[in-house]
Amino acid sequence: MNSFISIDPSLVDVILPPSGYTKEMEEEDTTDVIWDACGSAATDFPSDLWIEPKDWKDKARDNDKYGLWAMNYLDRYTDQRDTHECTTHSLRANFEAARNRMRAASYGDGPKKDFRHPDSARYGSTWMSCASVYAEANPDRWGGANVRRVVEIACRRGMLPDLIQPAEYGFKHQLQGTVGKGNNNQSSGPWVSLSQFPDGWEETAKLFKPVKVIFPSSFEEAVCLVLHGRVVSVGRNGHAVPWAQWMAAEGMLAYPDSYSITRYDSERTAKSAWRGSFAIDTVTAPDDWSQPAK
Amino acid sequence: MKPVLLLLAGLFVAFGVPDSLSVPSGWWHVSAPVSQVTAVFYVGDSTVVPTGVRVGMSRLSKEKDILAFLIDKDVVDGDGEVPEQYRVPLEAAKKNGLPTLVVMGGETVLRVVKAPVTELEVWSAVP
Repeated sequence: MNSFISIDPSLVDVILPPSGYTKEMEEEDTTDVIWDACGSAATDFPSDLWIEPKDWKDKARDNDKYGLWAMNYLDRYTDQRDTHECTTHSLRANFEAARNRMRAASYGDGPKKDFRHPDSARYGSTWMSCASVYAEANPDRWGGANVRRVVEIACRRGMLPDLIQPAEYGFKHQLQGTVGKGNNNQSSGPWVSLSQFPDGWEETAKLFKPVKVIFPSSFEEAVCLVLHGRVVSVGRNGHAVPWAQWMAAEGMLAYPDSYSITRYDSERTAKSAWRGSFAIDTVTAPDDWSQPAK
Repeated sequence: MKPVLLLLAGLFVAFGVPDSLSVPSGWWHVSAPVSQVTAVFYVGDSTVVPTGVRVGMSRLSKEKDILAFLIDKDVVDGDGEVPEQYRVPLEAAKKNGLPTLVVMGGETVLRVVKAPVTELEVWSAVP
């Protein structure tokens, strides 16, 4: 995974049709507000994660060589097409990367379109349902959801697993991954309200919650988190995305967009977007990784 | 016949069994079972895990098919309890002082390595 390559300009600072993150939501989602939403999971940026900017390229070389980017810990794209679910797709990437990092599960070049990593099953990768959070965050379906709302829901009661999983885990409760397009690694289904969730769903959702969430207090701290293999979720330009790699040659941030493709934020965009960002550091762990709902 | 056998037995007791009559070494020895490594846990005391440890743990997962975990000392399951699978290694790591690498064979702690930093330290901790 080479972070020193030149980047196709058509993939940089792409502005999409409304995907679920309005300008008003962006203004409301300050660090303080999202911090409060996380409750006891919220934590400041730990000073030992700081890397001097002059050393960023060296760290990027190591990450390239050894596969230590958050992008390496992600084994799938999702596809929210025709919905306003973007903040929940960014959240699931953040959560899944943290969980896979805890399992030391690295996936070659990261997500690939129309591809399923054979190691996903071997490592016990578990895919979360974006719809399981969005349905509560915005019961009206259209109009999107604040970052603070989706993070609060995830920390309070957790997320349900997607109907599609890389292995048969025997979950008692699952939900379609998205009401949007989906793909070979994300199930799609009709709109479902919270009252239509399977009976007893809370029992399974509580197994998949963020435990520690880090809040950067500068753009540089956000990049340090990415350099240390964390996903940093941000909202900007009407869309929420999960930064998962720092592109050393051009100073851009790469993200697996919720349209089954990797795109990039220029340094200029990133510097205007880091406020209100967060990185999930740890999540709840299963008693048995081969049976994550046992 | 009986006196001859008694004489031979007496000689063996007095002077030992001649080499030509000895059973080849190893023939009757049953080797002690070598415990199979099932999982390796790195229990950290901060958010930074050394690069070498992260690389070593990923390699154990990929190349040796060993369950490898990078865990926080405050790891919890959905009920806020220490996950069953982590209980023994977490206790061993805390006893040894964090950060510590704990090599497990089932429920048995096979080895602990205090504060590993390099990939080699992780790799060589697993027999």
